[in-house]
Amino acid sequence: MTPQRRYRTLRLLFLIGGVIFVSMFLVSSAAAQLTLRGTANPTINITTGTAGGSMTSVVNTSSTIRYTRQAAIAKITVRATCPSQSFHLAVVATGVTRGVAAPQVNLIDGMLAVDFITSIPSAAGWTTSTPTLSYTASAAFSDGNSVEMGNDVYAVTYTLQVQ
Amino acid sequence: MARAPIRFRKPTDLNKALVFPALLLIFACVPQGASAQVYGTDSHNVTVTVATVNIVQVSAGTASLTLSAAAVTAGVNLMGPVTNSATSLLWGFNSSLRKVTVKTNLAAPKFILKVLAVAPTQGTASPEVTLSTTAADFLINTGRSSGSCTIQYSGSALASAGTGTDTHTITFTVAAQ
Amino acid sequence: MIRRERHIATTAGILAVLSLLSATSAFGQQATTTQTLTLQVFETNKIDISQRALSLVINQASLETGAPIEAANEDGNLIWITNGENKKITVASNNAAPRFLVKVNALDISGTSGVAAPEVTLNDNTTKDFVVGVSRSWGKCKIRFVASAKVADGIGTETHLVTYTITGG
Repeated sequence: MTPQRRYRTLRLLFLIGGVIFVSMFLVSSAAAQLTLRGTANPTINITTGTAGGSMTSVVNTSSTIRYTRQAAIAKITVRATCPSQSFHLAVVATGVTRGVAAPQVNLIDGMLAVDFITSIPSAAGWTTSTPTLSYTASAAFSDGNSVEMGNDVYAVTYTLQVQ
Repeated sequence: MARAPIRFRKPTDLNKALVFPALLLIFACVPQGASAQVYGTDSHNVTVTVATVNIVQVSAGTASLTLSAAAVTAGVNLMGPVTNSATSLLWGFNSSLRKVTVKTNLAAPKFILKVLAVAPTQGTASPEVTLSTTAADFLINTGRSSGSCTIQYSGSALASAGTGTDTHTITFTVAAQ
Repeated sequence: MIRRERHIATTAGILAVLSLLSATSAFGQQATTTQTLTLQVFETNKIDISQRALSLVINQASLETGAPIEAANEDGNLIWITNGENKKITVASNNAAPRFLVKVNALDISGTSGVAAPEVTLNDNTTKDFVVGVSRSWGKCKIRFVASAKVADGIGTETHLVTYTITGG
C-alpha cells in the first residue's frame, strides 16, 4: 500500500469515527429519549371524605411517559421535591409493555430517585413505549386542608438511564 | 541524502500513530454500559389540593326511649331516667378548631331529654345537656380529626306531666370553636 | 402538536379552577346531621308500703264496761306515684268473714294530690276506697288500723292480707 493510500485510509477511519461520534451524540440527546405527555402539570383535587374515616383518595391518569429503546437494558427512576408537604402523593406506571413496573412509589419531599420501570429491553422489535402515569393523591383529616396548609406542589422528575 | 517528507517517512510508524487515536475515538462512541449513563430526563409539576371538609353523620336515623314502671320509684315525683346508647356520632374535620353542637326542634317538650357524648375517640365530651332549641356544646376540641362517640340519651318525666310521646328532631352541627 | 398540548393545558387549568370552586362550596356538605328521637311515657302506677307486717293485740278491757279496748297502729306508711288521670287507691282484705273488727283509714296525706276516703271496715274481702282524687301525682300517707272486739267474740287470732291498689277512678 502506497503512503498516499495509507493516508487516505486513515483519513477515512477518522471520518467514520467522527460520523459515529456525532450520531451517538444526537441519539443520546435527552430531548427525544424520555418525554412526559398528556396533561403537562396535572392538578388533583381531594374534595370528599367519610365521617369517622379518611378523606377520599383521587387517582389521576391524565399523563403518560414516553421512552425509546436504548442500546442497553435501561430503567426509569422517579424522584420528587415538595417543600412544606402536607398531603400524600404516590405514582405507579400502568400499561407497561416494555419493562417491568415497580410497585407504587410514595413521593416524599427530597427523596432519592427510586426505580419506576425496570428491565426495559434493548432487543430490537420496538422503538417507543408510552405507559400511563397513575398518580394517587390522599389525605387524612388530620392533615388539614389547602385553605389552612396551602396546596402541595410536587416537582416530579423521571430519568431514563442504564440499568 | 535529504530526508523524505514526514508523511512519506517511516510510513509504518505513522500508521501506528494514527490508528490508535482513531480506534480510541470509535471505541469511545460505543456505549460502555456504565451505570451513570443517562439517556433522557423529563419532569412536571403535580399539584394536590384538599378542600375544606367538615362532616358529621349519625349511625342510625332514629332512636327511641320508653319510660315504664321499671324506671319508677313510688313516692318520687321524677320518673326515670331511661337511657339509650344504641347510636353513634361519626365525624371528619380537616379544619382546625372545630366542635359539635346539639339541639332539638321541640320548643315545649312534655318530658325531659338529655344527651351526652360517651367515649369519644378524639376530642372532649362536654357535660350532659338538657336538650332545648338553643344549640349547646356536645363535643369540643375536635379540629383536624376523624372519630366517633356514643350518643347517650336520657329520658325522664315528672308524674305531673302525665303520659304521651315527645318526638324530637335532634340536630348535630359542626361549628367553629 | 404544540397547539394541541397548549389546548390540553388550558383545559386542565380551567377544570382545576372549577374543581377548586366546587371544593370550596363543599364546606356546607354534611356539616349537620339529624336524628329523630322518640320519648314515650306510658301510664305508670307504683305503690309501696313501709311496714310489711304488723300485729294488733287486744288484751285489755274497760274497767267501766268490761268491754275489750281497741288496739290501734299508725306505724305504717303508704307511698305512691301515678302519671295517670283520676286514680284512686283502694284497700282490700283477703279475709272474707273475720270474727273481729278491723278498720283502716289514711292519715296525713302529703304530696300533690289525693284525699282520704272515710274509714272503712275490713269485714269482708271486697275492695274499698282508701285514697281518692289521685291524678298525675305522687303521695304519702299514714295507715291507721284499729282493731276491736266484743266479749261475745271470744278470744283468738285472725290474719288479714291487706292489699293496696292504684286503680282507675
